[in-house]
Amino acid sequence: MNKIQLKFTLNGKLTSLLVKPYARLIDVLRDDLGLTGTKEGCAIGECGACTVIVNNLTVNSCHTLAAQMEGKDVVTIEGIATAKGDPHIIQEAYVEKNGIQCGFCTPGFIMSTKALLDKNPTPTRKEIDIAISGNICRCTGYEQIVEAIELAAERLKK
Amino acid sequence: MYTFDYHRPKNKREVCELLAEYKDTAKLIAGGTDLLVQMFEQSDRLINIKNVIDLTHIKDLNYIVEGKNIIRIGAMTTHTEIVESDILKKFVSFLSESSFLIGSPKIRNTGTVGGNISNASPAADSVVPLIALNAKVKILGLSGEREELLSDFIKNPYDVDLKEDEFLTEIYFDKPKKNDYNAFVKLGRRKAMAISRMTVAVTIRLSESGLFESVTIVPGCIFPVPKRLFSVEKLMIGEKVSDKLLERVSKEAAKFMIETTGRRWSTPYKEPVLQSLTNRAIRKALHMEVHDE
Repeated sequence: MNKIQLKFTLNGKLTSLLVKPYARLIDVLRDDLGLTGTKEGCAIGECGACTVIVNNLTVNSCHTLAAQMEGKDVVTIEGIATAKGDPHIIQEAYVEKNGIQCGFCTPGFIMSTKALLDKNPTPTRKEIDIAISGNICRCTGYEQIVEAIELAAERLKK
Repeated sequence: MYTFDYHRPKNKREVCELLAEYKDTAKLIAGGTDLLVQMFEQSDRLINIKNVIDLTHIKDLNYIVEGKNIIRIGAMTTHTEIVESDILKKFVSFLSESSFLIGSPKIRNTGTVGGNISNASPAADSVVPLIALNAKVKILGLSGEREELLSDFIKNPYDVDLKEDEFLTEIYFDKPKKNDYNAFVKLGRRKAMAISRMTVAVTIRLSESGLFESVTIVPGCIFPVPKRLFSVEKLMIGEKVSDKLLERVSKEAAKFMIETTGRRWSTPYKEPVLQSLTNRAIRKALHMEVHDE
């Protein structure tokens, strides 16, 4: 099976590489590009640990074919830090509100939060619940995560 | 993960040509939310698949268009696009609602209505209201285009009426009129990400004098393939809306299910649930008070 040439924008940079035709986006991110911030949990689209943003929309990178990313704009957890390398306001809010415990689900939650707040800077609780409904956290019980999202929304408005 | 070759056709004609070339070793990929999970889990159903043909780069398969008498939806339209469409919210809000209940935002952002139909899972949420709308599908092959009723297109679970070189390009249905009502109700095990345990979609047309003029009732997850309850619908035609009638009709819906599927271990659960969901769906459509039992 011949590898195929894939060109896409990754975290703001034009990226070109050869990928296996059957590679999932998460395989290419983690194994070919070394971006291990994106986690693989369930591999069937239930847990959301592998969430990335494609053309401003969240997707599960475990059931996205890498080859389908041709020409697309992909953002991973590695791509949201500030230009100086400091954590994003959303990341700081998660730390402050204890929205992180074991941390495995966190990159996925952060990406769902980022896509939500980019589109809707003043979400209601219900809208937050919907936005993170495809992300599972077994540690926090979600309340701290929702609070972190509310705090991030407040700070991003300023 | 099964291994396969990847093909990226530029137009619909090329899709048919690739399908004809690779025959039963080929599978189309739209959003990938079903296919890639099945390929990853090495499902027996896909053991022969060696070629995956990508539809995401074909531009004219993604649209929602309101015509004078019909509404047309391109097969590659995502569930999110269906949920957010003002046209669909206005005319067929039960389709918007059923699509909103599919998976999570991430599944809805990539999963497509054409993929949901072609995968033909008995629990496909977008299919149930479309069958209630008597939707038709457009199918393209090397010898041209053909159409058929969606309810005929889905033959069996995970089995649709396509020849080797054919694929689904569009779903369309009559635009509802002023006295038309519709509703969708779903019972899942939890709120988000729930695979439906049971759903019911209804469409209702009332006459000027408020009598049932036409009715469709479609339960999902009950039969191998979602289908209309014709014999039950018939009981309502020409009748006035009343609690008594709805009670009778809901009982008949549950009775019809048992007659069709036989009594099973799950019947004591499903019988009252279908009865209640049918009643609720009709009440919801007509904006009547819904009694929770």
